[in-house]
Amino acid sequence: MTSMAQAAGANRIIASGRIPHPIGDPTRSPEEEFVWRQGMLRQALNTVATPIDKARIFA
Amino acid sequence: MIKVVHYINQFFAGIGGEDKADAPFETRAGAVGPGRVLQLALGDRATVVQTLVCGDNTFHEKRDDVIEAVLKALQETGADLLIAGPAFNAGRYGLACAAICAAAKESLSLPAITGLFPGNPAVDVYHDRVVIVPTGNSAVSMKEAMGAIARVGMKLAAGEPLRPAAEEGTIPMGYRANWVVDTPAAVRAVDMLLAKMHGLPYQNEVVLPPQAEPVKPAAPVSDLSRATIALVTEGGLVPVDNPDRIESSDATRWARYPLADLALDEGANFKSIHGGYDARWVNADPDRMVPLDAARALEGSGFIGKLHDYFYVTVGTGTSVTSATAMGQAVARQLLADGVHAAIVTST
Repeated sequence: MTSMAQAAGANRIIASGRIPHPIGDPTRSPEEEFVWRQGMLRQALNTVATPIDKARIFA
Repeated sequence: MIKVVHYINQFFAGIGGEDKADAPFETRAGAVGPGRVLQLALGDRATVVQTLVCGDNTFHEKRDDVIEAVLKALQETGADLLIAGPAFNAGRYGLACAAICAAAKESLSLPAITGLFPGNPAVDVYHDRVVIVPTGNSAVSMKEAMGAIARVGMKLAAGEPLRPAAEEGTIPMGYRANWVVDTPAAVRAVDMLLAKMHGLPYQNEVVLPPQAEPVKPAAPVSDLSRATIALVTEGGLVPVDNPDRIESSDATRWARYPLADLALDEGANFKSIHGGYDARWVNADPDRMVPLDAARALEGSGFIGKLHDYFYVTVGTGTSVTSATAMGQAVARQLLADGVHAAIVTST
């Protein structure tokens, strides 16, 4: 859905989990899921600390 | 014989220009001024039985009275069709023409049509309520305008459904109608694709919504370890009784809830009321939509300075860009007022 986020005008975009649980992964154990989520959130936070001059999908 | 009543302003009735814009509403028998051009375009299919004349200022100053008088005249003459203008690019005249067409259609179920330059402000206001033929921006194009108005007007008077705007030569009214066509959808789609691949012209059958205006990116947060971060979502996570009655689709409302509440009982007091995704995984663990556990950990380790005390929520399914923009602006104002430096928005 990253292209949709961009079409809607979002500027800093990362691809996350799946549509029904964007920042969750029920296939992992609770401990592994937490570590995964924390990594995803850290990545999102790094994008807001990154200068950009136009919309960007961070890989 | 179809009876047409025609509305014009004081200028086209020959009373005078701006200095006569306060001319009172009056009725005259038969065709007047541009009504004669209209009568020629209608030929022997219809007759202009009466002309309604009103000064441009009079209409706007005594709008309700004039509309009432127009409706009365339409009933008394037994009109089958109301034609107003065309008003080209004249603002007050255009608004008057569109307003009386809307009133005739909505109060009397009478077919009504006007002609306006596409940039006339009345087009913006009335395009979804009134059949409007696009015209040039001045009376130089009177003859062509009347030809188009007469052609479409006769269809309306006969009760014939109009073809899509592009085909009919009218201004799009913004709704879809069903049609039976000879070619199945798959064939039309392949034809369209082939035309696109060969660089030939083709016409989309569905009007695509306009793309969002580019938004200037916000300046980056200079030091995450000193920043206050907020969590925002369109994922519909609300207290189980949805106290702010956020709509499960086409939302117009948003709310914010204390993270302290979400932290209680592992989020058991919250659920998703979003109508656009299967919420079972989020209901089982709301951290999958609002990553509170991970954010608290990053706050604890000093990766971020502080987590803002509330999370912000609405529903992003079937939600209009207009509503979403208004909600986004309101949420942003609140975040700025609370000294938040950046927001992480999770989206389904």
